[in-house]
Amino acid sequence: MYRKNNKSKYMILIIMFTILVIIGLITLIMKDDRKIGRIETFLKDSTFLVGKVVSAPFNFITDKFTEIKEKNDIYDKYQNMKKKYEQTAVYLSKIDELEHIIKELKTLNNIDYTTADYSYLNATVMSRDVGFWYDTITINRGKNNDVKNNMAVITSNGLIGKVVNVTTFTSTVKLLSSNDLNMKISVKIKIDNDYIYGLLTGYDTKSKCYIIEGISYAGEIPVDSVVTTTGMSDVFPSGILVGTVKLVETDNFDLAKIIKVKSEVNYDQLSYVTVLKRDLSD
Amino acid sequence: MIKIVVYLILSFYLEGIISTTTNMSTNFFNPLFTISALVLIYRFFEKREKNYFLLAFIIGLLYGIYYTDTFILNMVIFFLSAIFIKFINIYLAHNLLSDIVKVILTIIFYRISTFLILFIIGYLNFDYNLLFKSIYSSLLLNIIFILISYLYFRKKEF
Repeated sequence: MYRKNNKSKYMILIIMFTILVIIGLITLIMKDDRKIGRIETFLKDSTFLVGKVVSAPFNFITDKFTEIKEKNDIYDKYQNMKKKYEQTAVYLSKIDELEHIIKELKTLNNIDYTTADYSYLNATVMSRDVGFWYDTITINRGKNNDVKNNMAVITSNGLIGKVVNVTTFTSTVKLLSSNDLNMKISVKIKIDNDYIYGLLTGYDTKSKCYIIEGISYAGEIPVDSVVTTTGMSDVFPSGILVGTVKLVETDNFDLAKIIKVKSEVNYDQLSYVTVLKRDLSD
Repeated sequence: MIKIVVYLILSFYLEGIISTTTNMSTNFFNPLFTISALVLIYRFFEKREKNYFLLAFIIGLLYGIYYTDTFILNMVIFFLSAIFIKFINIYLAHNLLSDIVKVILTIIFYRISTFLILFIIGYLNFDYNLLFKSIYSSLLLNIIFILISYLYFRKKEF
């Protein structure tokens, strides 16, 4: 009887120890700055390659449906594009002129890199928030395409997140809609010709707005003011659109402002994204 | 056996494909095909449970690596889900209605256990609404998936 009790006590201890070890391992694994091991990279890349073959017929059908859908409103799109195209020449010459001025100023001041320097890399979303809780997407660009951790990812409507894990063929992007405490971003709000600076600290799932804190600016912040990144970190280049001001509140002590920012990004329908390749080694 | 593994692999990839075509937060079409497939294939492993648990373990590992970057988390939860599926199969028969009930129960188990682990390690805040939403948004599409799979298996093996 005594021996049986002892045995069950040991069993309980072993089970408790195993649970603690597993929870400890999971805690380590859930960190965003975790480096992916070789086995994990190999398994992820192999699964991706098999998935490419398996999903080919599904993608073909989806593309055909999209093609048919787009053909229906091709005329309206053409009219819109025509209007935009007429304005493009003006913008292009203006961009050329500005780029030339920037280049000259860089040479004069011996600057070979600014926070707004980046190149674009388009990617297709392979899976989106599978598992519900993680607020991540997987894209079909990886080390092969020079994607690195912490590169900013955008859509045509603005910033959506940063690359957190890279394998040879794929990358995982952590979305700004996650309430991850490590996803604090330095942002600036344009008021007339001036900027005020704050910190994007989280995302309110109910109002679908970003929350900006740490603003001690005493003046009025108009609704619809444009919010962009500052480039004051190694992660995001400056001038990337985040959203527009929707609501301005003061904190509990009436000392600083809390701003809710509405983004035009539809997190529920992300199909194509763009990685901003910035030389992070600088 | 090969047919079952192929079915499981197809369910695994279909989950990723569907996730990019459906509107995740506003509708009821949140895919959990891999877990649903595990429920349906249990009947083929009733006399080889070790193989079933091993399969759940491997598919959980791949799911964690490929979709969620969580490595061990899904491996553990898939394994626990497999034990749960074995448990509910003691009380529920193998027919369409029972299979739908089994899938609903397993989805609830999977969501709650993932949520609790992520809450314990401090990854998520405790939000009943989010947990509730994660469950109800997953039911409809997975029931449809089971109906289609059930018809396929019924023709072939049952």
